[in-house]
Amino acid sequence: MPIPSATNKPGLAAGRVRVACLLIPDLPLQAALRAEPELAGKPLVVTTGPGPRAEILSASREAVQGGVQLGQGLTQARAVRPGLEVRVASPVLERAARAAMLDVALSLSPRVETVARSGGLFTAEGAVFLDAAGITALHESESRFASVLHARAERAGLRGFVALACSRGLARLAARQLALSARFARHAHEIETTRVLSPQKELAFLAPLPIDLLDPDDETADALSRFGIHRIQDLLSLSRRDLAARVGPAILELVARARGEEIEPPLQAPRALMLEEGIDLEPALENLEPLAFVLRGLVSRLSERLALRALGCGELRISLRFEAGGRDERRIALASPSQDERVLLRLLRQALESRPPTSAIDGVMLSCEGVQLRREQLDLFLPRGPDPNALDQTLAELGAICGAERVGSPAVVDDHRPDAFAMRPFSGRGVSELTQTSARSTPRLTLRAVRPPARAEVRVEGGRPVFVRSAVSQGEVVRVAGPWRTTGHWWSEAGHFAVDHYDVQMNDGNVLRLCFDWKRNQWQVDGLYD
Amino acid sequence: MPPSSPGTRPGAPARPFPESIPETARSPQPARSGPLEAREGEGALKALLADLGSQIRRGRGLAREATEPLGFCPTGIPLLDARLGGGFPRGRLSELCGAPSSGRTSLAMALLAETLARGALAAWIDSADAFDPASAAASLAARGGSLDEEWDESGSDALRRLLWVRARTEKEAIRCCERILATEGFELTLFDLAPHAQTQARGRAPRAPAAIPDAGWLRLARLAARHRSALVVLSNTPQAGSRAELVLEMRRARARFSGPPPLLDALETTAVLRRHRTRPTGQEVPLSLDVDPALDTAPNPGPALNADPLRD
Repeated sequence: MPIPSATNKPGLAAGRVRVACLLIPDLPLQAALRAEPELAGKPLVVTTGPGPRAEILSASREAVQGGVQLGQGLTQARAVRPGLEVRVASPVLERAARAAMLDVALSLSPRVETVARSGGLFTAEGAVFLDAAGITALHESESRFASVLHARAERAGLRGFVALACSRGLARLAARQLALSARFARHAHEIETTRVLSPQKELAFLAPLPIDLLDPDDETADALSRFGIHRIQDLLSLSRRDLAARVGPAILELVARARGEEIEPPLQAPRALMLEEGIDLEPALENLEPLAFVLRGLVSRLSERLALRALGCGELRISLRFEAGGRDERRIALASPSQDERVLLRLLRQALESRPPTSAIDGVMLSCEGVQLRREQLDLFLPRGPDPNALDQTLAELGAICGAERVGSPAVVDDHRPDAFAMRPFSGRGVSELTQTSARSTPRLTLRAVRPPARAEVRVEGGRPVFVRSAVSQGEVVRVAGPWRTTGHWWSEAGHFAVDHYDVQMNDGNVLRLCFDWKRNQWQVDGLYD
Repeated sequence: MPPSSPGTRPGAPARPFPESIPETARSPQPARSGPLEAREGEGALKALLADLGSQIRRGRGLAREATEPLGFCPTGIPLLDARLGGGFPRGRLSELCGAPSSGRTSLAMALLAETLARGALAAWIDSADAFDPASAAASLAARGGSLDEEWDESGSDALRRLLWVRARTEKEAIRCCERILATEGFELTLFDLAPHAQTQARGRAPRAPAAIPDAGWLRLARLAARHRSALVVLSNTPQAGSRAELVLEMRRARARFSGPPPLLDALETTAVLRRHRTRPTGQEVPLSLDVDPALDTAPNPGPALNADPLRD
């Protein structure tokens, strides 16, 4: 019986629907390697849990070559291959790795979809689909696109396989087949990492593949095995009615998957722009110094993901999980979005140094919302100012050093209260005016403010101060001018002020601004002419 | 007399050339600097040069950079600017020092007003929290001469281009100063390290001036040079030693009062050039620092101390 061609499906022949699948067959292993790149090249296994009874969930190529098998107990695996590096599967790392896969995909296509975790043979698998329709307008060819996708994933610390086909199911099948071939490859250069299935070649590709690649449920797999159906071509050569009568209606879904006839909703553009990176720490960390190394890795990965999506970090959130229970969650606002690893790390370090964690930390989670980066607009008539991103980083760091409320631009306020001023956020942009030579070349006498005003002991004779003792200056008064009375806010008990100001020259040469505060009934020095 | 071989000490007897090379000498010995190792050394040198990249510059260029100014921040006082060769040099560390009420802050404010009026950005790192925005606005208004209609008479709008950092400690001030100097775009950075006169609690010793080690000053000077910012340090006494390009000392003369009724009219001071790498030192420039005319109002009539304003 002739096998019906998959290209009969409307739309496929014209090649309008093209889907790429980025598949990571051993995601727990890749997630562990992403967090600890120094483990690359070592016999590494990831287990389902702690303890010797845990099963091997994922194993590196070196471990497999040493005789380790998936599903084996850890004790047995250690007996087979001494010197195994063992890591327990971490949901935090795995989630971050899945998110990183999505970021890699989004760097090349606006419509992507993460695949839900499979069961059975493919528990450790992670996959993401990309809309690759019309991709040849941007890349030389589909195979070139597949290579670029594979290279980007590898740069993000995720070694996987890429396949392009006319449907998600077929693309995933092709990628799984690549992963299967790689497992049995003797040498690294024999491993094929990308494959492009043209619509005409899909059937020829599918025919010899084992049924298991379609991920059938256990009952269907047993039934097909009893009937001696092991390959996809065996399945497709039988009529659907006969199959459904003998195996059950569930087989129809499997046949549709094999033919690439699954009903697939179009891929969506994801809206969430939250990026997360985390790690579980074993043993817990008590000092900031080792924590800084952990943060460096997290920030580096976060920064790479932001760069992939051409976004900046608007607000950095750090959550520290304490061994003794409880969490310390902090938000670090960035004045302008940044993806600079050094800046993010410096801000984190400053935040932690200013208020160190109170207990040993056994888990760290970093997250940020991706926002568009700012661009600079130059002015023709003004000197070039700082780069806005660099300036904002500087302001953020200055704020972290001495308090955000103590950094800004000064402003004179419409208030007669002594030393009334305001601080505005510094933007580096004032009104632009043309330079003109000043008619006046004599500088003004400036007051140095004494904040808070220094209390003074004053001897008064004939209604005028004659001797002053204060922290700023002390001695006899040589000359005095004043008083100037300033009062205001009489309607408010708290805000009411009444001050008499004097300009006094002391015998040591200092010229002070002395004041008598009627509310406090005390003398003060609130300024020094300099 | 046979000619001495190269490398032979004159007058020393020349060694005879051996006719036969001894067997031990002919045996292959590991050469200490053979052609292969020379090539390796050359490769390592190239790799080192590639790594250092922009950090390597020609000595001639460095010498020129060390002597030639990168531009100036003028004070707006023609005589003083002439004495300084154009103003405070950009990309260099300068010091403006003097006793309290010597006019150093007024001169710094004039420098600031001139810089802001040109549309440039400036930073004031205030370790004593002594910056007075009203005085700054008055200095800017006095500098005036704006052609912009939006110009605020108080000069407050130009203050938007001033970054004021109110550090709580000198350590914080130094960190802030380093951070600002590491940011490109600030033409002038004023580092106010002058404590208030005799800032001391009763029974305690006077507060020591900012103890910045020489390496700290060197770092600040290098940061200023990197982004061509004029770093001006305000202090009671010179602090930076040989790291300073110039030291301008302010010496107070007298406070001028007028009246009756008595009014503080001006502070008369003298600016003395104590140190300059390229200009003659010891020159004096007399300055008169006038009180803002807006403040020249007559004091309240009558004995103010006797009339309680709280009973009004």
